[in-house]
Amino acid sequence: MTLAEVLVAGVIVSSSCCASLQVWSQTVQTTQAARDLVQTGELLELQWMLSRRWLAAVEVRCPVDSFALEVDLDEALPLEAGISRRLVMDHSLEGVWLTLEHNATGLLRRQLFTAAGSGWCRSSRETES
Amino acid sequence: MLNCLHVSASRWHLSHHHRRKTGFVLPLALGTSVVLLLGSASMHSLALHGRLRARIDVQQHQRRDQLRSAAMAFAAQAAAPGQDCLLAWGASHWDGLNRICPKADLKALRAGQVGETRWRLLDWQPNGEQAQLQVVLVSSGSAAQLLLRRRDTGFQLRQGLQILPAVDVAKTSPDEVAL
Repeated sequence: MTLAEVLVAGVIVSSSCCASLQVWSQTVQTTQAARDLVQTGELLELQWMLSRRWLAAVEVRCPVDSFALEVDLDEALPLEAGISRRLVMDHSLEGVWLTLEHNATGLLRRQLFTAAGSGWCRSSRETES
Repeated sequence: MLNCLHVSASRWHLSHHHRRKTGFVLPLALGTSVVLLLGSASMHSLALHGRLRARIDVQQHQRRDQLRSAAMAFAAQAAAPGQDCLLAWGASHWDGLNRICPKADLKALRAGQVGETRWRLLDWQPNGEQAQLQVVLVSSGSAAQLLLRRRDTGFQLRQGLQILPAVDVAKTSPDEVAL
């Protein structure tokens, strides 16, 4: 065992330790990002399911008033902090776009609910007839 | 002569022992480095795989939302006056029903746009008070089958959605892609 051999071995081991530490730090960051994404997705999915069920069960009269619907939805299902919800009218298809967004990550869920596809406007038709 | 052989053998043994003794640090260092780097690289690839899987889950949820939006748009078109005449039949019969259903809008039932996404009808099969709808998203080729229930206001989407194998829309209808 010579001094040169020990020095070279030391350089090799310290370099690989340094590189390995960097990779480990990236691994921790990636794992955290994946965990955050999963948690955010689950949180959004829960709110999404609740909002969808509410929209499927509610009696809506036509013409659909997205603002009144949003007020009722917010009263019935208060949102958790960090999530925003919007109901925007789609006049061409007589429906509303439900949008849920996680403010911190920008993760988005968006779906159209038309009056016909959701079974709304039954009471208005009955009244008309 | 015998002494001479003995001395040379002892020298060879000593030099071989010396070589072996001086050579163990570098292989040990190299081995340690390989273990460290391989271990951290494999853990990193596992973490990347986990993040990729989480992203794919999110994209699948968003694709389902798009497919349900397309089905909702179809239901809205199906509720228009005159469409009942076509909807009583399976989609494969629609081409021959032009004269019987003059008020029906065949194009509106076969394709449309919902938000930024174009959709196309794959199949429609009515069955009593229910109907089975298959739609595809033109941009991604994602397809799904959904069930609808007949109401006095039209067809209402039921809960649930079955994802179908991806469809090559360019092959099935190149005109639609060109739009």
